[in-house]
This record gives sequence, C-alpha cells and structure tokens, in this order.
Amino acid sequence: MSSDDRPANKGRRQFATTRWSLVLAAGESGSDDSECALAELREQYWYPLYAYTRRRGYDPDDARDLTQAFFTKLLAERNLRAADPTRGRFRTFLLSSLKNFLAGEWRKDHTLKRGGAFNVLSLDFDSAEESYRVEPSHELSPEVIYERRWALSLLERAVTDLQSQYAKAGNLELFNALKGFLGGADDVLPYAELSRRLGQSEGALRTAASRLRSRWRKRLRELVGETVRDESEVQDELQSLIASVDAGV
Amino acid sequence: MSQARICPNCQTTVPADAPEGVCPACALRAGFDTGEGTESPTQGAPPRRSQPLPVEELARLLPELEQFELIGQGGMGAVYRARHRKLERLVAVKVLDSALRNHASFAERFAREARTLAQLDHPNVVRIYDFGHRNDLYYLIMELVDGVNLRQTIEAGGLEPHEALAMVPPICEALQYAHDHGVVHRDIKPENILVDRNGSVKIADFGLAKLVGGEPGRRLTQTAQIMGTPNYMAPEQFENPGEVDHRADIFALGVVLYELLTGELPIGRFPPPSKKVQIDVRLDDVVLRTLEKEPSLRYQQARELQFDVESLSTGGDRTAEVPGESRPRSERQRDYEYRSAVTVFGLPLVHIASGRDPEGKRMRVASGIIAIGDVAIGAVAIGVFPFGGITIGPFGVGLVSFGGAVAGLLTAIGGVAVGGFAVGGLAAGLVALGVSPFGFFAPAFAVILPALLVAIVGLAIGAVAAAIAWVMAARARPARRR
Repeated sequence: MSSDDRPANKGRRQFATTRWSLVLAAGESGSDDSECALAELREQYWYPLYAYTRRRGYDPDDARDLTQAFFTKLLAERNLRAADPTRGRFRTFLLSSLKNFLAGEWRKDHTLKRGGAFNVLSLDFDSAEESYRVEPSHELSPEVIYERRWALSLLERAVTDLQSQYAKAGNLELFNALKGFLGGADDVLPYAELSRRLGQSEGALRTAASRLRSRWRKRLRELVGETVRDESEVQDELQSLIASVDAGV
Repeated sequence: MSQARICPNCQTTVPADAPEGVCPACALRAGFDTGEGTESPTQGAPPRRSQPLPVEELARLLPELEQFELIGQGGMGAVYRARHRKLERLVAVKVLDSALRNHASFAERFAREARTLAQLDHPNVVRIYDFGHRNDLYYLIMELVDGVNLRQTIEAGGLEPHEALAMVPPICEALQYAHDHGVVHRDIKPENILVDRNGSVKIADFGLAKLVGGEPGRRLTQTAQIMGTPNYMAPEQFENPGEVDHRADIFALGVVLYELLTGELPIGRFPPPSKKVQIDVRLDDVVLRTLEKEPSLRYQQARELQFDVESLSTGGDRTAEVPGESRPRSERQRDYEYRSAVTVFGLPLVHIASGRDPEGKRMRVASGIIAIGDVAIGAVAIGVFPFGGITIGPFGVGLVSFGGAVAGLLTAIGGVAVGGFAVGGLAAGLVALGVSPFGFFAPAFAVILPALLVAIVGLAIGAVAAAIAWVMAARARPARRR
C-alpha cells in the first residue's frame, strides 16, 4: 500500500543481460554495461541495507549516511573482487560487505562531517524511513529484516515492471483486478464477479489470468536470475526468498 | 485499489508492506518452474492454518485423556501434552489441522497410514500409541519426549562437530528401520529430531507428511505449506511430492547434518563443511554425497551413511566408495604446512611443507630461506628433493649438496655425486673422489677408503635429513585441521 512512493520505482532503465556474474566482472573490467548493472542493482536493493542498518540500532541520520557511504565506497573501490565467486549470491555478498563496512570502515570515516563526504547518490531516505517504521522490527533480527526486505523489494520490482507492461498496453485495469491472485490457484479467482466488473467473458478472463501468471513467473525468474550466478540457482534462491518472507510473519 | 488483507490462496494475512497487496510467499512460489508452461502451479483448495483447539474442547472430545496443555504448533496441526488416564502416563497428542483434510478419502487413508505408523517400534522413533477421529477431529496419541528438538538446540548455540556427528547413527538407524518397513519420513528437519533428557535421539512425525500432504495430485505449493519450509526437501520432492522414495530422507538428513556442522543451509553453491569448521576433510565427501541432486548418486541406504559416519568418527580406516577421487588416509596424514611470519627478501625465513595441497591435487613445495619438505627450495633446503644453496637430502641439487644422489655446482658429497668437487661412491667432477671417479683429477684406488667413508657419511646425512623432514611433518600434524 505504501509502495508507490518507494524510490525504487523511479527512473528505471531496462538493460539486457544483467547477471550477478556480470556485476562481478565489473570489478575487473569496469565496462559501461557492468556499471549500469551495478547501479541498477543498487537502486533496486539499497532499501534492505538501510533497514538492516536501522535495525542494528543506528538512528535514521546515521543509517542514511552509512548506506550512502557504503555504496560510495563499494562503487569507488570496486571491491567487488572481494566477492567470493563460489558463493555467488548478490544478496549475501551485499550484506556481508555491509557488515564488514559497519564493523570497520565507518569508525574511520566518522570523523568526516556527517553527510558531507557521502552525498553523492540521491536515494529517497525520507520515504525509506517511513517504510522502515512499518517493519515488524520489534521481534526480528537485522539479518531477518534484511532478507525479508530483499525479497519484498524484488517482488515489488517484479510487480511494478509487470504493471507498467500492462499499463503500456492499456490493460492496467485488468492487471489491477488480477494482481492479488498472482500466486494463487486458478480456482480462487472470483471469475463471475470479475467478469461482471470488467465486462469481459469468463473465458477471456481465464486466458488473461493464465497469461498474467506466466508473465509473472518469467519476470520474477529474470529478476532473481540477475542476482545469482546462473539459471540453475534460481530455484534455490526462490526457496531462500520464500523462507525469508515466511520468517517475517 | 487496495486488495483484501487475506490472501485468497493461502488464507494468511497479507503483510501491510507487501507490494500492491500481493501475498509475498504465494507470489514467490509462483516463480517455481513447473515445467509445464502457463499452467497454474496449484490445484485444489489450499490448506489454511487454523487456531489450535482450546484444551477444554479437546478434553471433552478425548475423555480418556486429561490435563491437556498446548506445547507446540506446526504446519500439520497442534501438539498437546496430556495425561492418559488408563495408561497413567504422559503422552503427546497431535491434532491434525482440520484444513488439511480436503480430500474425500481422508478418513480411510488416515486409518490406513496411521496403522502402519503405529506398527513402527524402534527406540529412535517416536512411538504412536493410538489414533482415531472424533467427529471432525483427527488425532494421534504418541510417546511424549521430554527434551528438546534440534532446532532449539541450534538456536541455543548449536552443537560441536563431534556432537553433531554423534546424532547421525541413531537417526540413520531409525530411518533404515522405517525404510525397511516401507515408510518414508518425507519431512526430516531439525524440528522433527528430538533429543530426550537421557540424550537419546528420537524422530517424530514419521510419514505424517504423506498422510496429510502427499496425496497424488497435490502439488508443491501445498506440500511446502504443510511442511513449513522447503529448505530440507530433496529436489525430486519439488518435482513430484507425491512420489518420492526413501532417498529423499537421506537428502534431508544431509541438509540437517550440513546445518548442524556449519550453522548454514547448503543452498546454491555451498562450500564443503570442512571449509567452514574444523572437521575431518573426509567428512566432506560423506556430506556432499547425501546432498547429491540426483537420488541415484546419493547413499542408497541410511545404513551406508551411518557406516561411513561411524567409521570416520571412530577413526576407522575405511572410507566408503565415495564418488570422485579419495586419497588413502596414510597419504593424507602427511599433509602439513608451516610458514614463519618472519620473511627475508619476501620469502619466509622458515617454510615447512609436506603432502599435498588442500584439494589433494598438487605436491606442496617448501620455499623459503630455510625450506624443509618433500620438495624444498631455499638457501638451505632440507628434504627428499632439496634444491638451492646448501641442500641436504637424498636427491639434492645445489651449490653445495649432501645426500644420496646429489649434484652440486661447487661441492657434491653423496653416494652418487656430481659436481665441481665431487665425493662419493660414484663421483664425477672437476675433482672427483670415490670408488668410481670420473674427472680431471680422479685418483681411484688411492683414496678408496676415505671416499667410501665420505660417501657413507653423505648417505647418512641424506637419510637423517629425510627423517627430520618426515618427523617434523608428522609431529605438527594436528595443526593441519584448521
């Protein structure tokens, strides 16, 4: 419900082959493609890092500075090479990098004027703080929050992507009517009611729902695929994501 | 535009922060590759989790029991502790979630499966005393295990590797027993492995996953919801949850073992356990073999796994016929490496190395100012094959070399010596002394005796050097298991 104002929705570019392995390659080559890939992944996933930092007990100002500084450092140093390719999950790599960063580097940099050195990226921290306040944080560890947020960010991206696809084709109303059933079994859809509301035949709606689900699966797997090393890991990563959203309820 | 707060599919509340009111878990599950194009991945009504029955209600329905107390709730239903009036003992009562019974044939299937489960009688399997249904309530009365489950143990700080390994044989015995009786557990996970106050291991919920979730036609999403987490499910369980065999249990036990050893789940490209904790590297093969994606590559029987774990725990010599290369124990015992922190010209002052590198592929080479090893390169090199300034060892090449068969640019002393100044049984050099000398200055018989002496001394030095290298490697061996 509070997702429309989330910064991750803004100014999105599409890029073709973004795999975590390509991002890893960024450490080596620094090609435009890989930089673009990294920037996009960052835009997508900075909020989980912010939520993690907040949960670690930093106040909003500090958390904001730290997240900024972390990305600045990550980008500047290209220390992506430090990523162990055998463990190729972007999700775990980012979190462990952030942990290291919080443990060490921050103390060093803290003598700099707050925000002065880091204000490079424009991430929407105000709405982030709003989002953070609704985290079920009282009982969850920072790691659990991070994992959960990661999963939700990914979902949100998939939903908005699909939404804009449908909007472009002028089918936004259809999408909005069906989106609540993305993950559901076919028989939970109230076809009769939807048919009345949308003025379409039940048969047409069934086809539309089926198409939506297949597009959903495709987009979701693409997005997950961008954060793992290869296609074979998508299933595993999905399992981890499911476990992390389950942990949050 | 706001959607209902309840997911129409799984009937749980959709979190407030879920994007666009989409149920996160269901939407993510929809990403599983069903391998059948656009078909919906679920069929039939999904299970929903209901509130546990109040104890008063239970007491009314099950009058043979008293003193009910809710002690747990999982995907399959609630568990109560109660006292059995006639048996005069405490029991556990598992009440199956009413939403699970969406199949017309459930009553008949429940009776059939529960009877099979009640016949399992093994010290490491939680006993089922009785089962039945009253009105709409299906229940199993079971042995009450006074202790903790492995999940609680993990959360309380986990187990030492040897403690974790000690859990494996009893679990395997229970699994083998059940498998021999045609029962597959299907839901081995830390929550279902109990340890009582005496330290006995008992497995709970044998076959229940099939009873409540594994009916043919039921699909992954439903099974996964019942089981709670897909983390322990074998790959084939995703494909075809209704038709897995006992090897799925072996996979799940492998996941549990990996988690017990490392504290992490073996998801994606995971490192072998010995990279994370100090354990016998041979255990890697055992754990990885349980986690093979392809059932036919796993251990085929729980007792095989048990056998391997036991022989490793007791230091036995046998390793199972694990796939891939496995080196003999005697060879691996020699794996050792020490490198001094002090360096000179970028080389360690002392470097001792023996055996092979951790992957078991390449010989370790000692290289330092003082280098000791099977193959040693250094200013002073001691070993079987020493190379460098001063070399001591059977097969050395250096400026000054002592040993069995040696070549020294300046001086070589040994059984077979080649060098500027060569002394030995067979000596060749500018100046050669020995039994059979070749060279510019090679007096033969005149110096036989001294040459023989020198040759013997050379051989002895070589032998002593080799022995020293060997003993140092052997004494320092415990440090190998880092």
